[in-house]
Amino acid sequence: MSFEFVFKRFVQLVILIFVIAVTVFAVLRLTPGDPVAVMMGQEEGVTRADIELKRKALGLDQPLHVQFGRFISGLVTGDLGTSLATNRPVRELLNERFPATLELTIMAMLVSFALGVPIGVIAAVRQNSLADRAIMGVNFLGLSMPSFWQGIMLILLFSVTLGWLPSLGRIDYDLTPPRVTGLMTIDALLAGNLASFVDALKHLALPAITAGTAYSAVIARVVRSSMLEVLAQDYIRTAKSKGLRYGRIIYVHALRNAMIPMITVAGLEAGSLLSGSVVLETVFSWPGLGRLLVDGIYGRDYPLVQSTVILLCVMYVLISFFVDLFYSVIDPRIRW
Amino acid sequence: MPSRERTFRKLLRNRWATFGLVVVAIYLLVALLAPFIAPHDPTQGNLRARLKPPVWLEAGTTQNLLGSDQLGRDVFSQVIHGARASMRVGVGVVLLSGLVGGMLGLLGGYLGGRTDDILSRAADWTLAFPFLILAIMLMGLLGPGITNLTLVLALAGWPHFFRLVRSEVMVERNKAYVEAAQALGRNALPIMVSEIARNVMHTFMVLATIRLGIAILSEASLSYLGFGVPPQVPAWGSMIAIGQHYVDSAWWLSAVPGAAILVLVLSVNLLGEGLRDVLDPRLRS
Repeated sequence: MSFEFVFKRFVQLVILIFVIAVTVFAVLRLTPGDPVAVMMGQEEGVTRADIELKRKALGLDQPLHVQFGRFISGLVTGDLGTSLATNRPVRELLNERFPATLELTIMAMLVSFALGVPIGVIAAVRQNSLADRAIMGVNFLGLSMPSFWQGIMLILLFSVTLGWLPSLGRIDYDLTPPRVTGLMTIDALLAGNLASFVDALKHLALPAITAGTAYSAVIARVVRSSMLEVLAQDYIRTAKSKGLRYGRIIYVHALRNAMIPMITVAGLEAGSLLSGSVVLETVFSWPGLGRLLVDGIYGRDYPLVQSTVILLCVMYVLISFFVDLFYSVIDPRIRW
Repeated sequence: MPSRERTFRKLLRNRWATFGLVVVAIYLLVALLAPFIAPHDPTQGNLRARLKPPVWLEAGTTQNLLGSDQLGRDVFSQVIHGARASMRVGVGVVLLSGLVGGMLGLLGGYLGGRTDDILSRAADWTLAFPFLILAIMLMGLLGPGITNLTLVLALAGWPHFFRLVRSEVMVERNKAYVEAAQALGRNALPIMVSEIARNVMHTFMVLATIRLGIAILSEASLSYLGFGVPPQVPAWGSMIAIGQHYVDSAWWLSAVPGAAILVLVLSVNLLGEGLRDVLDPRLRS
């Protein structure tokens, strides 16, 4: 990996983040409706003077370029302002909610790989068999399903009908472990509390399965096609003629090489799970960043909305940045 | 592969595509004729017939074939009218993003140079954004509305059409007839447009079908969050959102509209897959 490549890609990243910040700023300032008037208009006995005072306090009376300067310097220094609805620092709220989204994203990715990889391998090894076609058919169904609806149907089956799994929140209130990392499962283990660990896993199950199955379809497709490609290679034939066990050929020789495209898929998945978190967290009342954003929009909490959107977008572009770098390490032929 | 089996498989593929085409056509007809087909006014409640189950369940009546919601509105009629919102947004998004993306692709590919640089860069930026988040923010601030929703979703779709048309123009631009026209001082663009339109039509249709499915799913997600279609317009996404509140007592309120989405998007995708196989074997994965 050349220095020039990393540098070029890094400059692109910085520009992209700047463009995101400008876009978010512009959208918030240029959409019709005065946020302060909208927000305070719902309260009783608010006068025009009160609104002006609040505008001044928020710096909204300043010219746009001054506001923009403050906005950017706030982002750089990490001073994200105060949430209008809760009167708490936005940074604190983001800190509080971020681990929930992270934990769900990790679990969803685990589920999608645990399902998608074996399914893709089976479909490739038994190409064009009934199993292959059935798997690809189910996959096709999965790609056409609105995932928020799938989540509700899982709630209907596993929570309402069978009563096996909880349908909302991260953990039972009484079982909440003391916060160390913010990841419920890890914190429960650190506290040595098996009951809360199990409860946290149970709460994770439905949202992680909903998000994970949606992506396992994509993963199975990619694994299948790259396995088919690898299985046609000469070294697989060599391995076969050496008399190696078939299982070993498939899982050691072929799968390892077929996994390279998985890095891109994993990166894409993490990115789309972050954006998808907005819908998914609403379905399961999951207290993460996505839910925070939706609540912020409902409550016209502009400082909160702008920081949450920027954080989600920046994480998204950072992931694709690292995927690109990682990919060029693995496969030196890739250059931009 | 023996040719008979290949023919058989091709037939099978076409059969799925045919199935998709028929279902999509039915949905389109239902959307167009909704007021004539729906047995009830979808917005009219009947407080004496609240939360009625579908007809095949005990306590179900032929009055409400697919049950009724918490205000006694007929679910069957709501689902029929919901097709209108989905189809309007879906088709609108594809037409708009196809038109804008196609024209910009033509412009960028033909003019080249700075114009092309700027357009290509804009397309790259757009694709690099996590679009759902921006769409949610935009819709949340602009307020729900079919026009806003169509515009916002089209904003996400145009780069795909742009890239397709642009690359085709780049190929066409170096052909002899273009050079000849230019040497004669004529404008080669009209000839190119018809030439390119013919070359690109198949791929364009496959892409449009794929984008249609995505647009319908996006519309449903945004309406589910309350940021899509206005609340007084029947839409599948918002029906599911309401239905979720009653998931433990009236499952049909969320199950039925979701099934309507699933069948439509599945059919659109089947049609797209079939079109791709038949029209454009290059794209086959």
